[in-house]
Amino acid sequence: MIPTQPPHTPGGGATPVLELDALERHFAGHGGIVRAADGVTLTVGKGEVVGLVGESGSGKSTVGRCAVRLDEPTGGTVRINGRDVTRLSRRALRPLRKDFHLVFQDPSSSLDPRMTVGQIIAEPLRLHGIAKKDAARARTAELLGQVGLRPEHAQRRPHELSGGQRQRISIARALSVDPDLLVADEPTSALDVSVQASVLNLLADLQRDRGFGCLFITHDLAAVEFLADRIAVMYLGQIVEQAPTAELFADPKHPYTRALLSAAPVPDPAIQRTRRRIVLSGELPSPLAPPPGCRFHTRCPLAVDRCRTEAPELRELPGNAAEGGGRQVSCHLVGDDGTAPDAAAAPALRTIPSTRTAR
Amino acid sequence: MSLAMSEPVLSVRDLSVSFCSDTRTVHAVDHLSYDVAPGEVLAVVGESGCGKSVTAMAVMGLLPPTARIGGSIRLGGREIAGASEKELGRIRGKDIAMIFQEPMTSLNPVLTIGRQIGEVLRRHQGLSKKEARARAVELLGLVGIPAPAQRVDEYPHQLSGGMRQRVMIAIAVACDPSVLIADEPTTALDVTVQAGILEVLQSLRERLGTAIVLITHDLGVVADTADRVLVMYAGRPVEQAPVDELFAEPRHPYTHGLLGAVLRPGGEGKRRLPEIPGLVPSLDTQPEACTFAPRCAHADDRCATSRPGFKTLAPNAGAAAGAAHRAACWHPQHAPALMPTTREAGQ
Amino acid sequence: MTTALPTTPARTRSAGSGKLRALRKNRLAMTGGVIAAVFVLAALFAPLVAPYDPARPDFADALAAPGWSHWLGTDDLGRDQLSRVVYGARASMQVGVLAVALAFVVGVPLGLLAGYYGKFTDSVVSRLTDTMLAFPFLVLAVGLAAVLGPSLTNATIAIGISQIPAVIRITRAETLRLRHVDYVAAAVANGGGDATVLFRHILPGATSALTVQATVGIPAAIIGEALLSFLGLGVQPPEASLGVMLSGAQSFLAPAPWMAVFPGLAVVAATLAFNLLGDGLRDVLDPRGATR
Repeated sequence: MIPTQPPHTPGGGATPVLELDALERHFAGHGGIVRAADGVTLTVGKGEVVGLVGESGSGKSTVGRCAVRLDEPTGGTVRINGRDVTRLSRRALRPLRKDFHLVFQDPSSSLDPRMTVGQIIAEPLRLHGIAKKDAARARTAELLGQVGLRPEHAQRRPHELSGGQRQRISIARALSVDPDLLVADEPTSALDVSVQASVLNLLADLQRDRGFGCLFITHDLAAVEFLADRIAVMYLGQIVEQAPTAELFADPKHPYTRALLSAAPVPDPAIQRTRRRIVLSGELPSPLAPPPGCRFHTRCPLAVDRCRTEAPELRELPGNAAEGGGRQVSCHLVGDDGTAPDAAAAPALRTIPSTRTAR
Repeated sequence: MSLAMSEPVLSVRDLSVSFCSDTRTVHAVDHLSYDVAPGEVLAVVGESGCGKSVTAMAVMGLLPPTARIGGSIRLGGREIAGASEKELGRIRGKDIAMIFQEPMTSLNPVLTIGRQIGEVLRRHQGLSKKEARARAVELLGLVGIPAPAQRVDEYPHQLSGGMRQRVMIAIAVACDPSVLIADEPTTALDVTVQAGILEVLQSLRERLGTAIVLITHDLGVVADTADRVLVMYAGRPVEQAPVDELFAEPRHPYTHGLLGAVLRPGGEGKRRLPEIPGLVPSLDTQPEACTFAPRCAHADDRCATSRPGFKTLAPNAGAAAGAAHRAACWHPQHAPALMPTTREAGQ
Repeated sequence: MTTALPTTPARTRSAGSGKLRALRKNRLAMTGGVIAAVFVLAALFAPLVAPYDPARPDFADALAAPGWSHWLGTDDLGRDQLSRVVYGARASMQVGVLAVALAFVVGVPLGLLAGYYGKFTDSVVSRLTDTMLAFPFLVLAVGLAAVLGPSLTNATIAIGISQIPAVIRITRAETLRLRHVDYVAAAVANGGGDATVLFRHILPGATSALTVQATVGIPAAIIGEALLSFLGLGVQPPEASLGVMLSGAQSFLAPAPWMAVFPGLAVVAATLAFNLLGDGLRDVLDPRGATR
């Protein structure tokens, strides 16, 4: 487990909308305890978009569900607007739920097929007693307009709409109560490229206009770069690196972040041909029995003996203050001044040119 | 070097596929033609519902009986459209093979992976049990599975998703087919795993000379792996070109829109993404018009009243016949793609 | 296989009318539906439909073969068979509907609770279900008749109780399935309490499965009623019931086979009709088919 660092608070002083402190979610699995989230410390400031990136099995969705208390954390704390909600009962949480909401990955399963679009969007308004009947109808029409749909859509049912339209409705529902925090769990992964673009634009526009804080969970590096101010990278239930978006892309420190960035092909053949990717050996270890020491050491091309025995802490690096400050990384090989290990010099490293050879 | 000069190993002409139910007819594929040369990677690109997977299933003869198929499919000069199930059984797995998006559902959970690879070899090549096993080990090595001699006796559930996809590829190439159809082979996998699978496909093409039809919606994968690209929209081909040309100078407005909408890691940060307005049309009708016209900024009356042919554009310098740039558009664009100058990412 | 082959663009007609259309296309289900409707109508309007008083004997016309004045013949007491079949159908439908209603009133809430709250509640309800399943239906019915006396009401209660476990199981399974569907999680995130989640989202989601269960429960109850009445534990003579008629026909199988044939046919037809309708509904309402 990682000893917790004082949470990094951007936007100076103002209470962050979401603070996760050493969040833990363990559950009983076949043959042991699955450590889906194991000591995750993360802060989303007011009006800040934080990207949570990881591959399948990293625990990123679990963190998202714990953050909105759709899942029960087994350790650590979850604070929303400074208030500890970790142990609140479902009943006690209900009135607070207008402060946070989430958008699911699959818009076809997150909307009740038996309800009309109008009923779906108005449900949070009704449940929180914010607006009823005509007022709710007017508010629904307004929300539909804000997500780029027409008031007539209120009479339709979800299956009559396209995937992109459904995701817009899911966004409208989440924003109907004007939350301070929106957790978006892979909101564009189930959508086609051109639809993805319009949904990302919509999220960016709404975020700018309304200024809610957003935890944007995704495996798509390009999408997170588009939307996020700051990015946290997860591997096997822990955050391995955290940095402002531009810095992370320009200068990734953790070997896993580097492998991740190099593996995603760039949609431009001329550039892709010149890239080299870091190939990770081995497979993702089971979260039932995470490796001792650094969890990434089994696949890390740079791992040394220390990595196999001693778990690295997520520690603060001297950041570029102009960029909004602090970077955090959990790797023994990154120097205290922030110098990352030279990947190319690693004896065990296998970099290969991108698949497609020039012909 | 242009691979497209040689005789195509797979040649599809005017392929049409429609599904009829009692209430409606869906025209999933509408007059599609393409060639694949030996050792070439042709990417078939499009969004969901564009007919790219249906095309692959038609070529493999795997469509349900409710499908009506028209046109011609020639594999190595032999017509296979309308072939009997028995004939197809001799061809599938031997001359043409396919891998799917979800490898777990395509593998038999109760047989070892060695048995499953061996089965294909014994059926098509008449190998003995021992020979088949030895070859299976060899194939597992070929697709990059570590310690193949031990892995050969494992069951699918003991392998990770990426390893399972490698096993599927091993089964597919067991009999050295001339064409491999890969339907979204990496969509269900993580990027770090995807990289390895693309690497395997590439090495197969180089070592065995297998032609690959790569069906995908991921333009990053296309840029990484393909030699040539065919873009489909609503069941019809809209553009076809060598990969560099397509990305650098897309001619069809849809391709333009698609390339504009795609996100690039390491792009210049926040910009508004270009969108394609409107929705994909219903496939219930086959209008005598450009099906993209309602969403196209360049459309005029002609686009709405007459269907553009899939024609070769003014020949590009040095392009051979097979590598021609074709587009189905009355107003092919000349502007370079809407992409920002991408800088090197993550390096 | 990766993709659903026929690509479906956004549909415009509503799901309801689509399902109705699909059901109408299913010939067997429609046949079942029509026969079931005939039974329901006959039961509702029995006094208007029946040509004679079903309980009034006419010894002059006893054991008459089917003919113009008595379409289905008469029994040993000269009572009109057609009228008795119609009133028998009424008893059958009454038991069918009431028994299923009883099973639903008890079973659905228990299933919802077990599936939604899980843990202790679930173990208690599940053990209860297992116990009820292990208890033979006939023993229950005999016991009930012994304590409360044989009557149509008590037969209905016995049959209803025997159907409770199936209803609990189906409701519980549907609740468990729906509890993990995103839209139910969304309802919690919306600020919905247990009542909202259970009654606005989970229960409506389970209606398809429960509708099918009802159409399967009704014919089972009809057979149950016939069986109990046949054994003298249900409807008491001279009241008409298909089971009572079959029981009375036993002694006259050779001289008056119509006494057994027609009520028997009625039981078979009613059972088959509801089962066919249920099968059709199952195909049409299958949640997996519906989400596609």
